[in-house]
Amino acid sequence: MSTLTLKNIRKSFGDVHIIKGIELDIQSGEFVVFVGPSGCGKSTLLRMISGLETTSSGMISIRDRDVTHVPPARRGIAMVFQSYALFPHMSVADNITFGLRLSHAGKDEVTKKLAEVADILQLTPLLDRRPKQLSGGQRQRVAIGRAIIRNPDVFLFDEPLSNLDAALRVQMRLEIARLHQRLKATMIYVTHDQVEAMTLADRIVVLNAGRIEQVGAPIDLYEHPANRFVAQFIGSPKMNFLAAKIDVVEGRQMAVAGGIAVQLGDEVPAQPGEDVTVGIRPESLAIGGEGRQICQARIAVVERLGSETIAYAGVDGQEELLSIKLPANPQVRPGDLVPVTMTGQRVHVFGRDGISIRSQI
Amino acid sequence: MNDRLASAAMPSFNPWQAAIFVCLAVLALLFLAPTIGVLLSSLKTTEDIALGKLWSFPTSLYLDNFRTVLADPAIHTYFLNTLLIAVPATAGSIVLGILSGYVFAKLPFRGSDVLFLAIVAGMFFPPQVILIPLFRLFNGLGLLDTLWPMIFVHIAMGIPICTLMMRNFFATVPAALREAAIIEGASEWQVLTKVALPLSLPALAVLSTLQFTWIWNDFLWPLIFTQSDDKRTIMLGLVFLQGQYSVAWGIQGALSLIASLPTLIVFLFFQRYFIKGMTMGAVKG
Amino acid sequence: MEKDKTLWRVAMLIPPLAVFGILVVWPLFSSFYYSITNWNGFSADYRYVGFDNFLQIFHDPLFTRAAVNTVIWMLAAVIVPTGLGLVLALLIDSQVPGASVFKSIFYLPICLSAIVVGQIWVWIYQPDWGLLNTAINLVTGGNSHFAWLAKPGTALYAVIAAWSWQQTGLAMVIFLAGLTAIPPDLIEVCHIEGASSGQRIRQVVLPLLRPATVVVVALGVINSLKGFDILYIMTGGGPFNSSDTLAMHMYNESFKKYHMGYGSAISVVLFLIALAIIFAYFRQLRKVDEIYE
Repeated sequence: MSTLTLKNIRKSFGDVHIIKGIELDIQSGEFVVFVGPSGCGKSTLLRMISGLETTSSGMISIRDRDVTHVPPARRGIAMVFQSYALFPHMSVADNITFGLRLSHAGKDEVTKKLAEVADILQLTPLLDRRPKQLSGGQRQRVAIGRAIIRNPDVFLFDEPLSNLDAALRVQMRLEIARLHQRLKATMIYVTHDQVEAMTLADRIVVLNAGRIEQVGAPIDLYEHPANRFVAQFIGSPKMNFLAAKIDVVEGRQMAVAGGIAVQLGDEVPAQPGEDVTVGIRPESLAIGGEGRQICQARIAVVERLGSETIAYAGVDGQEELLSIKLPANPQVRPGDLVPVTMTGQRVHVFGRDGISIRSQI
Repeated sequence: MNDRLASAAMPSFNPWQAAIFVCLAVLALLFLAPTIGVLLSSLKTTEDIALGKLWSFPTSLYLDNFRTVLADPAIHTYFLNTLLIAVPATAGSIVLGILSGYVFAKLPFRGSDVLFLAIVAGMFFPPQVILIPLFRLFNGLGLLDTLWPMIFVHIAMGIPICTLMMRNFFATVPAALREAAIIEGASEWQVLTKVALPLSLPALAVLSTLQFTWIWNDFLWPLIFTQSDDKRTIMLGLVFLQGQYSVAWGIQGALSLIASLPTLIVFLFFQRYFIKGMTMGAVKG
Repeated sequence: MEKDKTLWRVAMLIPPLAVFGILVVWPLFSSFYYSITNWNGFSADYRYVGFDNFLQIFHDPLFTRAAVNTVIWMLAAVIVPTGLGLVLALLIDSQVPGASVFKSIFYLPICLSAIVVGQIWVWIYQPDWGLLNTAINLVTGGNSHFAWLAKPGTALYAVIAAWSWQQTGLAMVIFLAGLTAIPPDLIEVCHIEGASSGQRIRQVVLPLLRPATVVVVALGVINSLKGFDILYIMTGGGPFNSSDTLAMHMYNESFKKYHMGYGSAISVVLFLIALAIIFAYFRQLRKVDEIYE
């Protein structure tokens, strides 16, 4: 059953088009993450769903009800803000029950629901405090509590973790994931952090310049990026891109870029001599070993992260350094000339328009 | 930001909005009426006003009131005196405020918070509290009936607000900038003049507009400290001339307008700074 | 390094502290001294009179009158400019077209001097052709020539009205600054939670404006204590001292009657009142600070 449907949603201010026609169907209980660089329109889209932002054209429906022109409070949504948006003059309890009290809910009902929500979020001992007396993580939980108590059809999260420090962010990420499992509610979550997107989402919507670039499960986006934009946005460290020409050597289709020759297999629908971009993830490369050698490279920088090591190597005829993901403690030093090999089978080929021609041999 | 508040999904025409607009327009007219009244009276003959025609629109542009006022040599003296007080006093209070503001913001010491609060509190006391001793002081110095007492007093009375604003502004200059300059071998004085001050031009603009306006509009100090006509400031002169042109309402209107002209000009051109200064001075007080 | 800092502190603080000390702090304490003498302002011959001047205060009907008037003025200051300023700020903040023009109009009187404002309102109250009587006659069809400033019953309130006209703009901009300081997402929460405009203003906006309200009220009270110029030009405290305030009374006693000793005693009382207000103000500010940022 679909909970939220967006039909050709657009938003513009005069001649400036922010959202350029979004089509999306979100299933009940799904955790969907909108991800994209800043200014891509992801927050605007979320705010249009919430009703805080008007929609220039198109239709938003929640549970098969057209809510395009319905005020936010009657859409069946709840929203968690980046800044938490807690009222400084109210206690935690009053913040959480704000909406209930506005609608003149009975005192018993308010108390009962508050107790439930406080229990879920472990806020019970903090109910009498003011927001100023809470830590960042606690404030975020209060903000989530205010959303839960509304029992909405759709939860909207607008970059909820970006004001927290790194350690707390990981912890809150886990809490949100567990909350989703517990409530089985539909959640839409906006972030610019692809790690948050990958770890939390059932489905990721990659947005760029007001358009959807690709929608899919995290692993799909990682393995089959539809275009260059998605390929470089998902995955860390970033995918290597090489400007290449299609060539046929000994009957095998190759992509040749400067000093690098990558074998593609024979099913890529591209003519010899055609300009393409080849994308290879750092984790598909290795130094030496059993894989097929694609080039010789000189190591420029080695970043040892403990659990893994990233080597950046220069190749003749290539402007950008090639990043190579290596095991924990490899024997490489800057200045070494090394053979670079392909371990993984995955080579992504993008046409001149940036669209994936074929993403797998 | 405001767009975001406004654009919450709501019907595009809001009858409330229209009601609010009408409400504001009526209030604005009421608020403007006194000022418009002066403007109208300054453009009319005394006879017209006495005949009850003040509130009708002038049929022809009658500028004699302004001519009379502008030709009065006393007015020239008042203007000059006020300028001779306002310019040095504005500059002096700002310079002193810069010095103390810098220390409170960048070189705090034990007890500096208390000292700062004590100075700022000075802003709120009625001047009557120090009227008599100052009168005695300037009398003893033989400075009564000169422009000096006003210059000194306005510099001193300006210290609280100037200290407050400059401290708040210097507080926004990152400590790292000062430290970087110190490491480069700059003295504290060079940090102030070469780093902090060039960054503080907006604060200086705010303070100059505020101080100038207050000093220009002041009345109490010259009332106490001056006697002779050629030492009067514009506001004092205004009250004095009111007697001279007692029923010449049109001339009085022109007088008021001309006396307010400098501050009106400051307001028109520096409205943003002016409002900022008023709210900053008030909110952070 | 630390020694350098101390040197600079001293060098930079001496000029402002010296000026402030000689022309503000020292006179303040001198006032205490004069308040226990019978100095007349000129003669070198004066003597210590103990607390006679303060005792005289209790027997001075004009002082009582001035004190009551000052309290009335303060109350009016809290109610009229604060209330009207708040309403104007809320109206202007509600996205009406021309908001900035309205803002300038309401703010304009602030840059006029109290003298000019007083003069303008003298004309408004002018019995024969003043705006007020003209308007009243227009509405009622009567022929009123009421002299608002010459009647003991109305003089004080007429001056307060003029003063409020000027102060309202100041209250309004402070409230507007307070309104823009409210994070927009707190207002958005109200939209999402379904608060009506009334609920939003009462339960969210007004409580969040508390810091601004503290400032406006304190400023109003303090400024009403300072109110002198406008009174001087409009009524001079008259008729029959009916519109006297403490500031006016102090001026009259000191510089009209040359009772400088007694005038100093009044100024000490003024100082104590101002001190109490400032203490209350700073305490409120600190309290507000604890809740909001």
